[in-house]
Amino acid sequence: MKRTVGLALLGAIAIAFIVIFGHGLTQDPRAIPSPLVGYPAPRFSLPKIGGGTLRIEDYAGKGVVVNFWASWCLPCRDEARVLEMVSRGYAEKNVVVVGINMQDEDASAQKFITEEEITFPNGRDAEGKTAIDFGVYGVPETFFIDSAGRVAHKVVGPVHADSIIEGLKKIAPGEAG
Amino acid sequence: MKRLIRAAAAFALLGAASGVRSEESSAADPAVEKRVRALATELRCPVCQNLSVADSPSTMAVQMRSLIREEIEKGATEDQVRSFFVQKYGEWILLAPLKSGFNWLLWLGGPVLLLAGLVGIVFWVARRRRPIEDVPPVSAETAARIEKALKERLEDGA
Repeated sequence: MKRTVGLALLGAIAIAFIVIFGHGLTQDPRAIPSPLVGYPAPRFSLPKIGGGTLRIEDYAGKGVVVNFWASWCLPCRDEARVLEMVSRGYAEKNVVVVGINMQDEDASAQKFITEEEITFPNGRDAEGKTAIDFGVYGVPETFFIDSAGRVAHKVVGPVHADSIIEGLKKIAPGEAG
Repeated sequence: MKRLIRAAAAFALLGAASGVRSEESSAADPAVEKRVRALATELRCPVCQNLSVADSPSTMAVQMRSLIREEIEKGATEDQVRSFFVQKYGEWILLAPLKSGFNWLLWLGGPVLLLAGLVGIVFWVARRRRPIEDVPPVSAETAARIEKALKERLEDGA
């Protein structure tokens, strides 16, 4: 009897371990929720590509889509058009798009902006401090900041029509779609 | 002449390499560098697979090391720097999970299971080596029955 109880206990522990580790294996290791979601967005002030300064404070009261990118990143090129469309289409809806260029060189960043015909403002994060402040893993990553200045949503990887609408719904309810 | 050009090229390369190194340890205070290295060893490089910020050559890791150095030079403690990165990236950024709450299961689970296994093996071995005197004595009636059965089997076999 004692032996049966012992074996049952061992079996239960083994099954629990298999279930826990098996579940872990099905998870995407990069899909880690950002601890910043729901909290005030980090403030930044960066030299703007083309001249001037890019400050998040300048967009207080608006929904802000912050996109981290680099010219050598191919998915960044894929999503550039989507971001440009949002920037133009949402200008009247109190939503702005800003880009933050990281791990890059000035000339390459400028060339990317010209080639992709980007009109929204972009800042240069040469030292990577703003990226670290946002807990960025790699490029591209996009943060959706609501009008109260809180990080409402984050997309890792390139944004597509569906994923950007999901983010916009959180910072411009009733306007996205 | 060719040899001279080659030597000049090698010298230039060496200079470039040392330039990269000096970028990281400019005006390096060995005590600060030691603290930077220790902290960077605890942090996971976000863009690499299973490499610490100390060991990764990626731009992100270089920038993180610079940030750690800057914070330490400003007077931040190890805990403050660690908390900063946890606040930005979550506990994931720590290569060793914090010793608190549910994490104790991770820290203690392995050693406890190992110990339980060892204890199990010790008991199992002890049981197998139990001396024959421990076996309870057989009653005279049972002994007679066994003897009779054995005798019958031997006769059948013969």
